[in-house]
Amino acid sequence: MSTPSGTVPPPPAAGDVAFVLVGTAMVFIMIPGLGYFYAGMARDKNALSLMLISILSLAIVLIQWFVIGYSLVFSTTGGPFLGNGQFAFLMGVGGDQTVAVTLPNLAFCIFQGMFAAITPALAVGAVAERFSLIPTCIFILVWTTLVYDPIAYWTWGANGWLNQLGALDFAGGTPVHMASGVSGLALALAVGKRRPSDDPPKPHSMSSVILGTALLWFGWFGFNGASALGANARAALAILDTNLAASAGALAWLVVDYIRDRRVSALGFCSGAVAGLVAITPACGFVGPAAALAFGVIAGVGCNWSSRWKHYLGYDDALDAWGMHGVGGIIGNFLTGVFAEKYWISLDGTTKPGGALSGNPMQIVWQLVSIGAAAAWAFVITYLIVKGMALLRLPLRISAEGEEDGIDHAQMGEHTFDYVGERISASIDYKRTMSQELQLVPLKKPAEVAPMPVASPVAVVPAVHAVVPAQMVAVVADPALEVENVGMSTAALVQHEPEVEGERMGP
Amino acid sequence: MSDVAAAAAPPPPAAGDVAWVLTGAALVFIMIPGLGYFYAGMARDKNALSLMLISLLSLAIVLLQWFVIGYSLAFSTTGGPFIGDGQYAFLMHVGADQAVALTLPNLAFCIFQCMFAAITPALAVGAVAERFSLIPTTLFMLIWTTIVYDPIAYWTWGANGWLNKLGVLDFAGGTPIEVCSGFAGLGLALAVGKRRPSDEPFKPHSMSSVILGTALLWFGWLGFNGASALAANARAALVVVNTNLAGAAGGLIWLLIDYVRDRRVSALGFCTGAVAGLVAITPACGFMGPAASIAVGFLAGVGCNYASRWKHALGFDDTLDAFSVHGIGGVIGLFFTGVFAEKYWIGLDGTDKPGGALSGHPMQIVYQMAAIGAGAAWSFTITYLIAFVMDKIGLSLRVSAEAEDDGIDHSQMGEYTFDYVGDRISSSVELKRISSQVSRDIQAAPLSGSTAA
Repeated sequence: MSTPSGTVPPPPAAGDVAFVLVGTAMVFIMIPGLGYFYAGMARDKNALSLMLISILSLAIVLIQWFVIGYSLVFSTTGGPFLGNGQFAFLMGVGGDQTVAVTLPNLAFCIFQGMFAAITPALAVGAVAERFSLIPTCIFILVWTTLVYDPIAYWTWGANGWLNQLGALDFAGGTPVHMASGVSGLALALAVGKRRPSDDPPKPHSMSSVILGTALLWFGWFGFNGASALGANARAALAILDTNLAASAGALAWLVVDYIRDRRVSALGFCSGAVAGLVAITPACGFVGPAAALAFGVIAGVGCNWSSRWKHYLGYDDALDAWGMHGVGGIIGNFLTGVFAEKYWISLDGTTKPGGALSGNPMQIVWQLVSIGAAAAWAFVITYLIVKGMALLRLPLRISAEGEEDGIDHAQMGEHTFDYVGERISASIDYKRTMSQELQLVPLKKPAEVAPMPVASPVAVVPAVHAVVPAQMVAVVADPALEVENVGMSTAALVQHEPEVEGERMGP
Repeated sequence: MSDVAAAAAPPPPAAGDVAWVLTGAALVFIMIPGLGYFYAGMARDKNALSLMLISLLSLAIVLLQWFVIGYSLAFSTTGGPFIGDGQYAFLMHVGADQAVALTLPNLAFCIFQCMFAAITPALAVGAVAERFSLIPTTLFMLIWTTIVYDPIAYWTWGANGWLNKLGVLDFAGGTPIEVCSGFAGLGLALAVGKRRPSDEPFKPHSMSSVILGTALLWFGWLGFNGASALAANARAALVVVNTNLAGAAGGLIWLLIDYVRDRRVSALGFCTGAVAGLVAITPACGFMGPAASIAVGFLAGVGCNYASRWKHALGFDDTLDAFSVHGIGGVIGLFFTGVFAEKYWIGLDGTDKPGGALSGHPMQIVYQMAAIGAGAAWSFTITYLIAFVMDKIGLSLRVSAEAEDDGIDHSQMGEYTFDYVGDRISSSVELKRISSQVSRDIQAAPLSGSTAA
């Protein structure tokens, strides 16, 4: 982002403001897009929780952004490490151009707010299928304040130390991708692996994954393009680079998968596209189109490899938050130092020395500094937050039973589709029933028993909710009941014991 | 909308302003299928496709009507206080001039506003989901947009419209879109009647669709509200900030209310609350600050949550909460605009209006209530009359009892959202036919030795 100094800036051009407001909407749509992307890659019993946590991340961070987040990241009167309360409650945030010289402060504020909003949702993907919703919401609120806001300030704040050092980050390789990826790793290590399961962890809906990828790629036009803060040639370069890197990444990953497995994998294509998009994010306003292709290929191959590390090293980064965003962010951040060129940077009049290709290899060192600082801060603080919450009896991890039943059933009572809900309710009831110890009781007749209404086969399979299992259990476990055949299915019990007192199990 | 006083000739349209409004038209467009998904996901699967289709039909019907007469009725500059005239019928004279909106070519303003008209009938129809008949409903939408939407839009935004002249503050459509569709929904629900009791519980068949719909609605709303500034400037930026904050506040508070009551984290609750917040901020977004927007979102989340229970208490079937979310949300938003509007925020693009109670002008609240009252009364009454008359002349909005049991998708469309839904419904419909046929055969057989051949 360019920041010329000295004279009074010209008033914002309508085209620049329009482009950034559109960019805001485009980064917005990446958030449910991420929800679909993640949900499709998980098992159906956990899918809705991933959709919900993405949009909850949006809502929580937007409010925090208003209260203090924007101020912590973008105040112009802060020190080198963190902003102050200058813009708390968005006081003083109006039509002036104090923060971004081409835009009213309000426009820059909401645009950046969307970047903050998507980042925690990225990290949470690492602990998919085992996070507990309410504690995770609290985690998101704490994390955005203690991890995202400082790192974003260092990178983009007027007095931020990485910014002053000269580290290059166009649209958020460090605060968004690296921070979320490394935090994902910390989360995965702190929360632990998923329990072993009969249900193999594999994508339940490639349709959702592709929809999510489409919305992410679409939104990235705004995420990267509007980070030029103006509708000009630099924005056009950013959009061109973004698309080239995505394509190259997708094809590279597809080729790697094909060579290894002899299958054309849609999941591979989508993952590779996202890896390319992640890697080009810090670089898109600094490198040329040919370099962007290189970013895509290197990220596609590199993230393909890094997303397999978890199998060898034994951590459960469920949806590859670290493998793609962490590693992809590091690759992109590093390669920016290599491929940045003065020529491309100056498309909108900005003057910076560029990277190795412009005879400034020292840039690589600044990039490494930003990688190291952000990774260290994100990892340590995230790990501490998780452990601290566990100490305060707010564990991020759901109970073992909740994990087996699926978060959607255990915490939400809703599912992505009605047939998913029916399947899960039925399988849970079956498990409960089978796990009850059917006790042999003495064969005595109960004194007075109301006749059991004739139960149709339909009544045995509960069409609705959690009330039914308790009733079914009551039928089996009451020792006063006459039980003829231990071990028979509940269906048989119901149909063969008309004197057994019980409750109707219909809808 | 900006109301820059223009004694001199306005400067030619800035490319950025036009780009923003044309993008806004596309953003409002995508809210229409988004609404289809939102509604379809909340209904049972046997009726889902009808809700997706009626949203698209609303778009198509209103687009044509807008060309013929709608734009003219809503925005002519030579009309009286209550309705436009034929000045722009068939979009005659609608060209590049800046006659209607000072910052835009007339064509741009026309297509942008058209999308607002196009989404509104589809909102209302949600109140009678799972029992409306498609062709009569399409006809209803054509009549309704002409005699309900167009007048109310004219009163609110027309150059000579009486609510506009009164000084009502309505940035992006609290009256013509939200209150109007919400109270129309109530009128429809009362005229058409409740759904028949059913073995299949009334619950959302696809939360995945509801979330997709919510996402597209919120996304589009950034254009719905933002581009209503008719320019890409600090006021538009304020509106985008306010819209997002209200949606977030509404979603979170509804989620919290549901959690306290049921101990469940409900995605449906979050989505409904977010939409309630977005509805309420629609009239308000260009007139107040970010803090007030959070308050409006919060108030809408609480108020609409409470209002969505009235139907159970009072016994009307506002199926998809068109009245409680859009109607009541619109009322909340319009009212609190009168409270929280401030000259400072209005002035971000040079507009000069007195603001509301917070700017020492509490009379604004009275003007807001005039808009609420007029919009609600006109919409409810005329909608009820249209539905009533259509029923009397044999074009009932309601499907037959059998069709309602089988589902609208099966009985009127022969298509379903997914093939497995169709398989399930076809076989259950056949099973019902066979078992009712069997019981007729059994009753017909005489109790003698011979059996019917």
